[in-house]
Amino acid sequence: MTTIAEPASEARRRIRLFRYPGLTVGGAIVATVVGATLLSLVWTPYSPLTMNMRQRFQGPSLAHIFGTDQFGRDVLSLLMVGAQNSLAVGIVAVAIGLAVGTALGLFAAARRGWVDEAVMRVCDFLFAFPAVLSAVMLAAALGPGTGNAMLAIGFYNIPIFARIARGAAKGVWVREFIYAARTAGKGAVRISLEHVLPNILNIIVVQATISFATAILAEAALSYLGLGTQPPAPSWGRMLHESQVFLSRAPYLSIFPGLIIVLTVLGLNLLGDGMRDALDPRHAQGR
Amino acid sequence: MPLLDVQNLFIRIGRGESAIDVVRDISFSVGSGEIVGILGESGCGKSLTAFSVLGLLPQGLSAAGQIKFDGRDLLSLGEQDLCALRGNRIGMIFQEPATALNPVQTVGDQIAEPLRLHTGMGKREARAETLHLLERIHLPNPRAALDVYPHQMSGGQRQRVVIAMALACRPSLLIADEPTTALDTTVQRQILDLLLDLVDETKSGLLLITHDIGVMAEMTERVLVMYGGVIVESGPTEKIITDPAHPYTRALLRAVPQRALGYDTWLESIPGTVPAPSERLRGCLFRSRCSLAGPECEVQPDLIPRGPDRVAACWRLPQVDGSVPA
Repeated sequence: MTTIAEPASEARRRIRLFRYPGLTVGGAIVATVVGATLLSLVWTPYSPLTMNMRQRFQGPSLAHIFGTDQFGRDVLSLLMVGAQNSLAVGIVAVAIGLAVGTALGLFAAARRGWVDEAVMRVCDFLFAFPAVLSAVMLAAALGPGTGNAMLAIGFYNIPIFARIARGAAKGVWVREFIYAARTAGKGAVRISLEHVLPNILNIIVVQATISFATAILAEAALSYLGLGTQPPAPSWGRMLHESQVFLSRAPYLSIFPGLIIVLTVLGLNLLGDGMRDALDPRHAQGR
Repeated sequence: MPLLDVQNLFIRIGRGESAIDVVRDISFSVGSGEIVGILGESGCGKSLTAFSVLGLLPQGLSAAGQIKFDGRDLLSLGEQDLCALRGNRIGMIFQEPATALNPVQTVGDQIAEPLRLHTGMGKREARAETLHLLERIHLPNPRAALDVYPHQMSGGQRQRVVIAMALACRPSLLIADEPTTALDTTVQRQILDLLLDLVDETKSGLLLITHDIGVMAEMTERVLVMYGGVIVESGPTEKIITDPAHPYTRALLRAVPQRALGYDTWLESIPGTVPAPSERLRGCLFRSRCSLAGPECEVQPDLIPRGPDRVAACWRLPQVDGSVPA
């Protein structure tokens, strides 16, 4: 018999970041966005809500890196504060989808049979609606506002997480250690929480990252349509909406918010893909 | 009264007309401190028999008959009562230690689980007991082993952990499904010795399922030989090894390398394969592969006594004086 190997944390630390460029680049982008958002809670270059009519439509300059809008507000400051809104919607929406969806998926996988079928058919039904359409329908029904946007996008995420959790959980349920847990006298609820969930967590985390990106996009779309965050609170989607009137006069007003949305979504997707690769043992061993 | 008493157990796939019996009318018992073996080729129903004792048959399979454990009929118990027995009074040891452990949970936590579940121990108490268990199964450096993950251990160490899990609540019955099949020969030896010591020490009954005649010969006191879902022969292990009665048992024994025993003969194989449950014939199931088969074999033979404590299901055997039923 050989001696027992070193603790697991050691092995985990050895996952070298640079083996996964997507993970590194995506992580850097997301960290920058999150950092700027946190910074905006205590400091922005200018007050985002103070209008200054003398400074309207200033192009990008040293004083205003991203220029100023039709009310003379600093675009960078607006984007930073607007990020709070985007991230908050993303976090809450993903949390709703993840919590409810994963629970449903685990339940369906544990119960099997007609319960499983019923849960999945309901998910299929919900899947038939495109993301933004279902969000628009819900936001229209519940009324516009940040809270309802969170609910609407979170609701859209439920079947996504349910399906992914159910598929992965079914794969875990047939493994022998589940049988071993059953021979140890465990019930289905405890097995789901203590044995199945930890084994599908990596897939759930990756999906959460990707869903976060779609949630930010969906929030931008809802705000663009006037169903999300209401004025005067700054929001990326509404900045796009308001700037389109001035598209020929001040194109930078559309370009910068659009660029920030694209970059954030790209960063989150890269991060998600990178994590999927890094957490997948087949990828890790092949290198 | 034996600890485990199985009478006329049938295990069935499907329902109604199309149902197929994969295990047919088997009866056996295991007493406290006794080691009973079930011997047979893959697919003969050994593992299903074990799982039916735990009430954990795969979906679509059902058991009928009687399985009495400590006087209670397990087949009539509800899921909740079964959960209270599993891991507590009946422990199970699996074939493949690599897959029988949860890869994302530390070894210590996994062993502590049944303890916390069944004995109401607190976290600290269970951890102390787990350490004690790891010492009992002779794991090197048991304190460090508490916090490692299964993949950081060797196969033999993992199997010791699986055994520790099964033993945690001091069950009165252990079921071991091919406990050494996945291990190196040298490690096999250690695991078997450990099992023998533990049975000796705890006086629990052990139902050992194996296709390995060597393991069977060394470990068990009594053995049931299964073929195609029925028992074809049973009796004291020593007698069966030295003087097998049923043609199937004899063929199995001839298929074991015997150089160690001093013979230098060709290793024989049994022609053909075990018939699938769906194509099972009437009468003796072994007759398609049996050198003794005759016309009377078209009728299913009963288990006929063949000496003290021994039975075999074959029409073609020379009768044993004084033990033939009237």
